[in-house]
Amino acid sequence: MSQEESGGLVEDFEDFFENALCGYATIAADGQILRANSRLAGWLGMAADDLKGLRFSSLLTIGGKIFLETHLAPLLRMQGHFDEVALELVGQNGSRLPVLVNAVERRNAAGELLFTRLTAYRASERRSYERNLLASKNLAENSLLSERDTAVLREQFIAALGHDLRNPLGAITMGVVILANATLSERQQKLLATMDRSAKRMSELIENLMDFARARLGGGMVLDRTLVDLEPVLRHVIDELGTAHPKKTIEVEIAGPLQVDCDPARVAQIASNLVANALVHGAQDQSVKIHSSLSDGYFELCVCNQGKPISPETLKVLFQPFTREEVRSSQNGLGLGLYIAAEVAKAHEGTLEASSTGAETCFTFRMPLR
Amino acid sequence: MLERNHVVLQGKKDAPAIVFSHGYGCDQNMWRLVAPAFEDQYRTVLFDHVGAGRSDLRAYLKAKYGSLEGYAGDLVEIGRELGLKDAVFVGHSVSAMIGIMASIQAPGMFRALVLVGPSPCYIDEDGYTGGFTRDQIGELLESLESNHMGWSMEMAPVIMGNPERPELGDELAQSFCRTDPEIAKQFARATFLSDTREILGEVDLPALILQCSDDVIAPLCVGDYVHARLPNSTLVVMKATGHCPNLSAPEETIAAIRSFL
Repeated sequence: MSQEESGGLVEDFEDFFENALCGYATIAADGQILRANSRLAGWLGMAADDLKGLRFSSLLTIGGKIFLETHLAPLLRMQGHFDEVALELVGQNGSRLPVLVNAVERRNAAGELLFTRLTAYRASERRSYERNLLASKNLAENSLLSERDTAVLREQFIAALGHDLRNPLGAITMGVVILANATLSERQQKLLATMDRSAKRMSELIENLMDFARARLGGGMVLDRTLVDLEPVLRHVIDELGTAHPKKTIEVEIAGPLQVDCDPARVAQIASNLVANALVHGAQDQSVKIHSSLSDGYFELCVCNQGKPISPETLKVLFQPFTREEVRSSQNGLGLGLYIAAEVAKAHEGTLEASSTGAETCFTFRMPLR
Repeated sequence: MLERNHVVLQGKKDAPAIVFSHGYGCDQNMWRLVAPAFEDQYRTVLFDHVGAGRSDLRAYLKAKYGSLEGYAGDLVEIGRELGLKDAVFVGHSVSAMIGIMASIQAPGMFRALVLVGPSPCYIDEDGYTGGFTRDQIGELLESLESNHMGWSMEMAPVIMGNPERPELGDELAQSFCRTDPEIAKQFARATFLSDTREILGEVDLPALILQCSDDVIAPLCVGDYVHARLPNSTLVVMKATGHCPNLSAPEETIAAIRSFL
């Protein structure tokens, strides 16, 4: 069969060596190059014969030379090979080519070194990939660090702010109480009542801030648990809010008594938050429905209202701090109420969940009975 | 402390001691072909500098090992712990200078020094030829800084401690000279920016300088310089090439040390 008939040239091993897709070199025991292929020489801008007699290290960057002498040469002597070592070849014109180098020693029966074979692969793409990877890793690490610093600082700031606002507010509240005992005109009484409401409102906001800071910093919410009947606690919260919203109807269904081991003040906080939200955000001409019971080892409180549903996007972030729904400007100001309620639920090993459809928006707090 | 530096004692128990100290880039394995030859007449002492080989990496302190004094201090501590007196010190590469420092700090600890490829200063300066320009050393440090070279090396510690994957044995073997890249960077800085030319004159111990014939890191002229400055020194230019005759030409190295002692 002729070459024509076989459809091409018979494989020529000389050509295979010279023009392989990687650089080959054989290095004598004294470190001089015995033979290198045209591929390697071509990368360096040289002829293969020019490489003979040169030391392999003379083809490397200064860093590579030192790495070769201090790390790679010892490694070769000790284990007879090294693999995938990243080096840079320096061409005749000073250009640099990143390569990955493998090397293996050939020794005779007496264990004397005959020569070392070395194979180099181009690694420009891989190296720039690695560099980019390293750069983005450093960038990500740095921005994460600064992000964390900022977050901690912000939360410490909030804690300090909340704390410092309390004292002046205490003075105002005290002043309102003292003034209420004096003889006042009707107009003055009205003004005083407004001032009293505003101070209470502000006090709530500050409490929320403090709760937020407590939940985020330090050990989280601390509960003062006790076995208590929650029915009167819930009824008190509902009555108070009902009085504040005389135009709304509230349908209450409580299957008492509700003996629960919990922090009653904190559960009242959840109830107050959920009921107030329902009263404010629910359709004004529809009633708010509250249901509470014990079942299957759980205490459950469910507060529902009708009206415009909460969008799925908002539902996802509803319990995150500083979330306020754009469509319905929150009267709660900071957007911390639901976050804190959820934290209180969590502290009771319970859950606070929301569902919202065109028909109804419901918030359900569930916690296990101990 | 002997654990900190992974000190390994071999040879004759009550015989005089010979301490082998490895240079930048590897660990006490550098002496595996040389040290055993002295076990019949000496107590051999091998150790890893903190940060290298199987030393205790927790003991690595940036400030302490930012200069060669930190390493010399460790060597003196090891010598005192072992009660070394009139021992022989064999130091390769940067350890040659570390040994000289230790011998000045602790007179009587060593009676003779063997310096393999020593260099008191790697950078050319005012008529002194160290073999490198300041820019070249800068480039070396920068390339370590950006970790281009040690990429595959860095993976070794990750691969270690993977008993359920025995096929990684090959890569594991590459961990002979494994170094934490961060520490390698610091050690390179301490080594290649060091200038200990001034202390050479303070040493009057007999010293053997083993100079390789084609060493990129410590060229002939540096060997000549050390020889000229060390009052009581002998210079032997070896046939061996490269920077690690202790591995590439162990017989020649052993013979030279023997005839000196």
